[in-house]
Parts: sequence; C-alpha cells; structure tokens
Amino acid sequence: MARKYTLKFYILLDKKKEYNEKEKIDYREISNIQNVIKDQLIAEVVPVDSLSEIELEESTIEFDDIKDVNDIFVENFYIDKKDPSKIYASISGRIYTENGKFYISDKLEVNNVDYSTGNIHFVGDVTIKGDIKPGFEVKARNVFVEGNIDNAKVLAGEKIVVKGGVVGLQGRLQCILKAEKMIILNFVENSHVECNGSVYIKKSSMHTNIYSNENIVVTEDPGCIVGGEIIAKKNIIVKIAGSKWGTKTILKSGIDPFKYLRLKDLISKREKREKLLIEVEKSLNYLNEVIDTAKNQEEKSDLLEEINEIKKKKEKFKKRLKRLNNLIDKLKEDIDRENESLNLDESKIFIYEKVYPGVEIRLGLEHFKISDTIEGKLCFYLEDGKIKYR
Amino acid sequence: MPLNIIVNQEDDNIAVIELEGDLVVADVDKLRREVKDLINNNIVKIVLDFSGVNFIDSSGIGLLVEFLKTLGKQPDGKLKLANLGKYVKEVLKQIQLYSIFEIYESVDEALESME
Repeated sequence: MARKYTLKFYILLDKKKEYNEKEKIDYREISNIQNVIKDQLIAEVVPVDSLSEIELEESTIEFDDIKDVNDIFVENFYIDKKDPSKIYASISGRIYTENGKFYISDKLEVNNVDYSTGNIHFVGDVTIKGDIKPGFEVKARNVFVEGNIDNAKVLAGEKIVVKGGVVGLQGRLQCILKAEKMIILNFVENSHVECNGSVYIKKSSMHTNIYSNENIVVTEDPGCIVGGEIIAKKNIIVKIAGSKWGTKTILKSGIDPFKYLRLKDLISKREKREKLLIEVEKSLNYLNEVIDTAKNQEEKSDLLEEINEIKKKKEKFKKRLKRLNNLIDKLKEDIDRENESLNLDESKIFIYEKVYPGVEIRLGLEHFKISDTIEGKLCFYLEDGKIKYR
Repeated sequence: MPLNIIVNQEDDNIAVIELEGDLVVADVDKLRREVKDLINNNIVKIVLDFSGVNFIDSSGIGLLVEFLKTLGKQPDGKLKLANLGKYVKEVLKQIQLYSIFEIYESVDEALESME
C-alpha cells in the first residue's frame, strides 16, 4: 500500500467563523486576509501515520507522492533545497486557496473599505477603487486610494497615494494617515498626517496637522496651507500660507517632528494626571473629615474601606505620574542634545505667492509672526540666530 | 537561543510580555499560546518587550502580524512593541512593515500610550 502524506501547517489557517445569535459581532473585524511573510515556513510534508488523532481529524489534504506538493502550492512558494519536505513563502502577501491549491499574492484590490470588507490588515499592496468609509482602518505595505478617505485611519509601511480627498471631522482629528516613505494627496482637511519621508499635497491642506522627517510640499493650484500645524525636518514649500481671515497657521522647520509630538503628548497627559491626582487628594481629605462624623461602627468601617481604596488609587496615580515625568525629562534631554547639533542650512520655508497674518514661522527654536500680508517669492531662513526672509 | 517568555500583568487588562532569546519558527507556537491565554483571561492590551531579542525570522514577524489581527478583533485590543533592537527594527523596515506597528522606545512609553 502506498504511503500517504499530508501537510502540517506552521501558520494559523483561519476557518470561516460561525457566529451564534447571542454573540456580538464587530463588523469592522470580519476580514479574512491570511498574511504570510517572505521566507516564512508555511508547511511541512509529513507521513499521515506521524500525526496524532486530533491532527489527523483536522488534516484535509493527503497525497501519495512527496512531489505532489508542487501541484498543491502553486504560486510564490519555494521548497527548501536541503529539506524538500518544507515549503516556504517566497513573497510577503496573503495566502489563499482555490480548488484545493494554495497561492500567495502581494496585491489586494477592493471597491470600498466598508462593512463589506471590514478593516484591512495586509502585508502587501492594497488598491481601493472607491473610498475608505468613516471609522475604518487600513494597514498595508502600500495603499492606493482612487476615491476618498473619509474620517478613517490608514497606516502604510511604504506609501499612501490618494487620488480623491482626505477629509476628517472638524475638531476631531480622527482621520489619520501614517506612512514610512511617502504620502501623496490631492487635498486634505481636518486630518492628522505623519510621514518619515516627504508629504506631497497637490491642491490644499486645511486645518490639518502634518509632520514629516523630510519635506512638505503643496504647490499646484491653489497650493495653500490654511490652519493646522505643519512641521518638516527639512523644507516646507507652499504657494499660499494662511488666509485673509488670519487663520492661525504654524509652519515649523528644522526640528524632529516626532520627538516634538511625543513630548507634546506626554506633557498633555501629565497635565491630566496632575488634575486627577488633585481630585483624588480632595476626595481623600473630605472622607478623612467625614469619618469622625460616622453614625455607627458599620458606617465607619465602610468609610475606612473607601479611604483605603482611594489611597491605593492615589499611589497608583503617583507612580504613573513619576513614570511620566521621567519620560518627559529623558525626551527633553534628547531633544536639547539634538538641537545643539542641528544643521539648519537644510531647513527652510519657501512661500511662492503670499503669506497672510496669522501665520507663524518657526525655524529651529526661533519664531517669527507674520503681521502683514507679504506677497512674492519668499524664502524664510535662519541667519545669526534670527529668522530672515528674502 | 530558545525563547524565554515572562508575562507581567500591569493592570486589569494590560500585560507586558518580556521576550528573551530568538523569536523564530521553533518558538512561535509558544508565544502564540501565551497570548491566546491572556486573551481568554480578558487581557487584551499587550506590550511585547523586545529588549532580550537579538534575532527574529519570518515566522516571528508573521506572528506579530497575526497578533495585530487577533488583538484588533478584541474590543479595546492593542498590540505595542517596545525596546526593539537595531536588528529587529531593520528587519521590519526591510519588509516594509515598520509603520503598521506601534513601536516605542521603552516599555514605560508603550504603557503610557495604552491610557
């Protein structure tokens, strides 16, 4: 009798989930993309009689010849030359089956990202022919959106390119885009954008915070930045900055935007924690006063228990505040050290047509507030410790 | 070096998993089981402390991507990576997945970001 082989998988093969009527379903998390990484061990050919009963029950693929595995793993796999029983992924992507055969693809195309797709977490490139709907999330290597991003979150290992618009809800900044290498947008509004590489915006940025470790460029028509905080480690290049209504617009160049963001976030958390600690102290003081007026022993006991709980909370908050203060001190030291060695020759702010009052220019540690409209091709730079323009 | 795993519960639903050794194919199941146990006990906010990890292979990275999905499906589920060494950072950047993870310089920062 021919010896039969089967496959032992080293990845978690998702089975389609069956939900019962009482179970809560998060329709944003229904996506069934099975990610694998390049050179990841996918499966091993093993003799059927080497499996346990449970493993045997779950095994659905059997074959007589070890070479049959080549017919089962069709696209983007390779076999270890030293150990031909092991099958590896030759690219990062999604593994899927069709008619009992396995494939890996590093491309994914969907119409919209909405309740029909759920959130997308994919190690390859995703093309969205339509829009990313509000509240949804896409994480992928490269993300190409032909429609709009509507109050959603997009994280890319490399690039984000959006042909339509990126629009968040006013005042919320929950529309978040982050990429490692490059972000290219048509226009953006009420959003938060971060990129280790450069950010290119064709038409305009309105009330959006943009942070880049390289350059931020807005130069087609109208080519304006209105509102928001725009920080680039190198250059900011824009046609029009601010608006005739004096909208507060901050343009900063020559600092590490991400350390600055982290510091800002930690300081804001510290303020909240300090306020919380004050409230806890007030509660504790109040209870300590009230305990002497307790009507009986039982009430006194209850109050004592409450006091102990609040004391534990106070200690917990103090510990967190101490941790936060340590983090802030370390980060400030780090930023100061970096500022001392900063070469600001590479950091300039170019405004090609007009800059309005309400715009603040910051280069390194120096500030310059625009008080009157200035027209013409301007280059703001640092010289002898002061901001100048020509 | 085989993977050693130490789980420290920080708060009601937050745990820090200290990893020491190599995160490779031989040990992914071990870590997967630990995280599954935490999720079964409603601990869905997890910080992976990489200070003791010198080497990670594709299976290890595949496991991190799997955790993003597994924890993403839990209400309030979060995965944060802390103390990544130069090698691990480089590997994540090379396969162009660095930005899809939340990465912090220290466990303290990662814990701060949970709140």
